Amino acid sequence: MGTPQQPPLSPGWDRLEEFIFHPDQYHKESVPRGLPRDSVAKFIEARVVAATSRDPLLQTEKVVDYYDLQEVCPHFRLLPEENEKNPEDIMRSTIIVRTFALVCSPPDVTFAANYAKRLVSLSSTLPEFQELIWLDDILADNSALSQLKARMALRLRDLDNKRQSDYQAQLEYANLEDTLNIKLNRCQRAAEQKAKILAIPDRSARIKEEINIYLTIDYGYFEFLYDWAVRRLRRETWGPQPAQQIQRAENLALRQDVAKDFRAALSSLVPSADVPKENLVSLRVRCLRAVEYFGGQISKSEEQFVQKNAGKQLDQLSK
Amino acid sequence: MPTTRTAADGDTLCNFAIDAGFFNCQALRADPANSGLLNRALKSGDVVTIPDLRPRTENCDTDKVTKFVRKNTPPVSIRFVHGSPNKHYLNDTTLAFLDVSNHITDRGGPEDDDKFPDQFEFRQPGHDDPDTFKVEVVDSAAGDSLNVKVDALKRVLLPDGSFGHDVFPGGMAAFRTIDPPPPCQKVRSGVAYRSKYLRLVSDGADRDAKKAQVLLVTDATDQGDPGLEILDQAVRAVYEVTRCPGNPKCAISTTAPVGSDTDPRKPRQRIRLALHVVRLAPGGAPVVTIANADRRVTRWFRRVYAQASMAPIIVKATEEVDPVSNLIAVSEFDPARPGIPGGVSARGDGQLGFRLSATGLAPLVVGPLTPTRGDSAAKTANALAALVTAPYSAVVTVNPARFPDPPASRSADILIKPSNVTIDQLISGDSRQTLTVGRPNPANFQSWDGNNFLVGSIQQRTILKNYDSGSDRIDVFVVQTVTSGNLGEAMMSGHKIDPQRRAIDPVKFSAFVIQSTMDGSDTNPTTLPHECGHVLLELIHANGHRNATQLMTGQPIPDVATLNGTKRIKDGLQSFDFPVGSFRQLKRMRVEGAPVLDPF
Repeated sequence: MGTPQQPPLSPGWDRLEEFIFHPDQYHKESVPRGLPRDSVAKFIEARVVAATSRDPLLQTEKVVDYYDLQEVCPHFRLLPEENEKNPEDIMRSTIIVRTFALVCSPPDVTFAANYAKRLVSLSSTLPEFQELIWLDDILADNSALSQLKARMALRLRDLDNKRQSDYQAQLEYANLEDTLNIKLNRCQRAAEQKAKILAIPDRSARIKEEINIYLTIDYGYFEFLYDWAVRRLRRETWGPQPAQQIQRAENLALRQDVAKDFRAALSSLVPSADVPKENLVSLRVRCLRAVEYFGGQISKSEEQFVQKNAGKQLDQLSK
Repeated sequence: MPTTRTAADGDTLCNFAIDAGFFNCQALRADPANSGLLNRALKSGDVVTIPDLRPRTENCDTDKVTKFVRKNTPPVSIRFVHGSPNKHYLNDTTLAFLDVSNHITDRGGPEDDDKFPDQFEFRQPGHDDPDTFKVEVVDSAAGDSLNVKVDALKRVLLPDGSFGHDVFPGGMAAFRTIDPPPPCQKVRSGVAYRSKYLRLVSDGADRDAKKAQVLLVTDATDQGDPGLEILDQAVRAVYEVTRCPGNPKCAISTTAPVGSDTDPRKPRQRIRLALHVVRLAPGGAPVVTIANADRRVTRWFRRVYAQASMAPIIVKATEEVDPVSNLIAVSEFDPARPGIPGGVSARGDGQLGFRLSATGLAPLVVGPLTPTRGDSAAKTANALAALVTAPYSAVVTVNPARFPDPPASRSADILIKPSNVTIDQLISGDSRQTLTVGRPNPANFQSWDGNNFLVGSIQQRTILKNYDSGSDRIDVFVVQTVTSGNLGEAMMSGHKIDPQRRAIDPVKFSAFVIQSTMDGSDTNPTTLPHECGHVLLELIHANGHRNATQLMTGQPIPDVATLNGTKRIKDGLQSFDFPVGSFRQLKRMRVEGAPVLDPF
């Protein structure tokens, strides 16, 4: 009797296995690109389960985000089990819910928001709070942020009693104080900026603002705005207005628009208060890569320019 | 009339006898003048009496051809050779030194794809490793085969102040000899005998893998001699002359040093190291003892790099250091979101400031100031530093850009002294430029990520900017664990990785390793060598064929030293993931790592 044959690996599964479960620390920010979406979705459905540990979940989040992988929403909806027993469980659930909220539809996001409240009510340490801030950022839910603030204040009081004699408590106290005083406030300010941009009715004007964030021009609060802008620019190809950008859809014309807007941004790049002269080359590389990413053409000489100047520069909107 | 000869080390009665025309040393032993020399090896200065040859008459027919054979030529000799596919044994080069092998001990061929040959004759898979050697004995009267003793010798200080080599004491010697003595078989010439291919190895797992064909040349750290170098040792081969009638028999020997400063392929060099053990809290216990940290260097680091003919030298006494929180970064990126921009200029829409305090000193409020839109992180940092007044002081350093950031988007650090300062009451109101305090946590130390490994995490920078001892050595810091779960993390120069984003001086040529790789056990023995390999090679990870056996593999490092473990530094071209390409590591580490290397 012969040995049963192993089913062949789907395209890219080896790369995904390495990136998610055994990432080389030097390359753990470089999501494997250019893989067939259905293959990526199938891999995640097959390999990412409720018990998957935190680091692979964080890597999975990067993949789901990069591919806007809405195909995994039904799978992710089933992963949180409401049985978090310790901070590690809470952080894992937070990442799962956040991944879900990143790409899924409004009813799913409502589910995520409700689950977030449960997680906030259970949270008690700085690492949990930090994961939850990112979740609240995705959910854009001010009430959750207030609830989180209260939990953090509680922890701060608890640590205050220990910090004179316990170095770990001292570190956590100082970091938590900064988080509470600075980061939460920035998260709220960023949410206001996002709302303003989403309210711009003119699509091209809105895309221009999103590109500005991507090029670090004009805006701040990048820890909350930057990834959001990247995501927004991809969504601008799904439909003309934010309300129509819920379900991922291939729309060549809309993609071309974004490519054209990057072309326009490229030609208007000049040194300014936000763009030092020394950064122009790098930002041109970023624009050209984005043009290509959105299906625009770049010339042979532009291709050579990118090749010559990219170095190890990592651009999120690149092939 | 009898003559005399004065012996040098290594001379034997048989050699003197054969030189004088005798078959063996029987006549010399019979001479009463030599009676004091019969039960020991000759030593330098011994005077040996050579008796006259005794003529003998042989009758033979004059109408026939009679063949007379001189039974004592060529002279008995011994040497180390590598061998060759087509040269007469006489024309083979004598090896002046021997090197520790870079190959998997029981494998042969350039890529270790074949078995290591155990035949006496030429075999390409054995020949492919330039570090293999054979013992060659020439003796016209030794029968079909003979045996030689091959052992390692330690370096010793001689009475005249020079250095020589001598046998290891007692039990240490037993592990440093090829046991049983390797046989040598007659080659086609009929007078020369050669052993099988032999290798020098530096750890027990390699020795056990092919005991009959390897010689262990290793450290003696756990035997109480951490100063004993592998590359100071020598290899000796001894042949007891078969035809010698003495008891003990005359023995001829040859000795070759391990490694050479003139080796064109891998000349001996030293890697300069400085070790710092971080305490779990200021004034608290170190994560490992200094003795254990040093032991990892003199034991495992030494063993691994011996194959590259490199040895460690600790250039600054290993020290314990406190985790201090005296660094403020301007425009630091958020470590939880490595993809977001860092090093951005100010927007000018908010204030920046902080408070300093330290035991016995009056607190100082620094700022707040409002940067002008467009101010670089360096400009803002310098403006804040200018507000730091005595008894406090501040120094600004500018970091390179991270990979997602344009090259001029460089964060800046303000290092405050005294180092036991507390920085709190942070005001960080600018929407672009933030202030972040570096607070190292040795129990779970913040790793770099894939985007900032030439910059360092803020915790890494805080430690490095306080304690890095120079750019002419690799500064190694031991912490309890790191947030990524890694065993170690190297801070490379980066001049080949990304010249526009290369590391700055206090950061480059450094490494962080975790407690379990530097404690008193032998767990993860190759972690420290691996991290230092990044620094020396200016390369990330080996990939391709058999990369899991390479020191620089990206595969998980096994807990213990094994034959197929991640420890080889391949001789030939090895492919790497970044910079992408194939490289000769022995050469590259001598070029890229030159700033941290010394002559041996």
